Amino acid sequence: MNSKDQVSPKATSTSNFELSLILTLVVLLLVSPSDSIIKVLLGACAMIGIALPRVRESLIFWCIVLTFYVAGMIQNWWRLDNHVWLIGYWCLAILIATGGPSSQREHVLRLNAKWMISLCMAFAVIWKLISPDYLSGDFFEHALLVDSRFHGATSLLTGISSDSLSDVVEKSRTAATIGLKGSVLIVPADTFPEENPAYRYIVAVPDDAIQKLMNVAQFLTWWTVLIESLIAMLFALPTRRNTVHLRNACLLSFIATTYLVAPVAGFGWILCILGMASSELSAYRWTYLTAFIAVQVYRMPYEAVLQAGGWI
Amino acid sequence: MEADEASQARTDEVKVEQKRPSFLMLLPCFLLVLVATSRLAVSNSWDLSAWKGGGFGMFSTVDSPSNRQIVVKVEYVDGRVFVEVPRKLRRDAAFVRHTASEKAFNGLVDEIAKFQEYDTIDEPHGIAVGTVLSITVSLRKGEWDSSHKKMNWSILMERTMGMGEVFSRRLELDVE
Repeated sequence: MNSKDQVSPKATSTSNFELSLILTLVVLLLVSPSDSIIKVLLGACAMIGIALPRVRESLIFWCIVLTFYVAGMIQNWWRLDNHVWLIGYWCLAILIATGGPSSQREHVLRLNAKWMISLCMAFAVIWKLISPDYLSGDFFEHALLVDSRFHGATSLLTGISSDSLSDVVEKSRTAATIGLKGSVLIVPADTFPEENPAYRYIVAVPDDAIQKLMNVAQFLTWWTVLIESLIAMLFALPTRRNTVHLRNACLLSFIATTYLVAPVAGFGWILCILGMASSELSAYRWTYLTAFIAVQVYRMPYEAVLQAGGWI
Repeated sequence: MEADEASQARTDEVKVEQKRPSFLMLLPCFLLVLVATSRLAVSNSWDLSAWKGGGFGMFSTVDSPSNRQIVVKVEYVDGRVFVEVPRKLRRDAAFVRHTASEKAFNGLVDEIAKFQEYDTIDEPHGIAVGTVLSITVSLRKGEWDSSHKKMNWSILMERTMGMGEVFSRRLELDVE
């Protein structure tokens, strides 16, 4: 391999390590594997770590943090979201890095971050490819209509009002809770059926909305598989100058587009931290930091803001 | 001289880059692979939702815990009502929804049957007092019917406890 292609680790400032640690502690303040006393203890540790640089770089500190975190994970193993697992692995990586020689710290984090991104994306793609209701587009169709996290995007892309979408969620919940006799049927307004005992609840939507919904669902289905596969592949490749730019561009595109549609902040934040830690070039540090903030900004009810401003 | 130093630095950099990572160094990644592979391997035999368990199956299927429901139906002398899972048992119910564990489901049904008052969720019927005939608890899983744009609910588990099992007690339904 030509050494000119190799990206020098020294191109990255040492504060990349620092910033990764601080952002991880910020995430630990906001995302906890437990709602019990462990959440309070983790929060306290995070605040101490953020305030005291020497503490956050010590092995003992991360041993304590990881102990609390794992205890929370054991308590709630059955309901943990996948980003909670990923944050747990990342805390272990930090522990290993802080326990090693200081010259190797950044290298350990970079290596783990690179492979964690690649592996979590690869597993996400495998699950999607073996799931029939994902491949048929049903998953995104359902999510766009019934998962309130998608409603801002659904409303913008299909023209279904947020009131109708809230109606779908509420009626679906009631129908589900009282069993099989109630189902929610979503129909175009011009084909509103006569009273039909098979469908207890009916939500009418604009005439062309269902077709738009199906198109958006198909697009999201294949876009997600494509971008996740690309990220998995690019982060698994050896680090060279051209792959570094390409993989960071892909990961940033994924964060920018995915979390705009589905604001799952926890996953977005940990991906930003991993992206930053894995990056050999300091220029990306600020891009990932901006993305980290953007993930939070995405959570605002932008559809309501646009409506209030009269833009839609 | 400067050129030599620069050359030496470049060599060091390449050495750092090419240093073979140890097992301990990459332990978090090995753990990730171990958990996620195990989760994939048991996906057909274990009903834990693909969204959970560290396998990274989120956003891959409609079968998320929020699309699994516990339905409690109480039949009494004068009719039947759908009731909510008692507040004290919400965590147990969530565990059953996430894992679809038969043992946990049976435990939940036993606990639900011990209660004397329930919050109804169907249309109000007024205060209903009567002898319980049976309590039916089911765990249902939602599947999206794309052609009709609606959810279909299939029963994963169901158990009915007859009057004998619930000690023929009188039930006071807390209806608004």
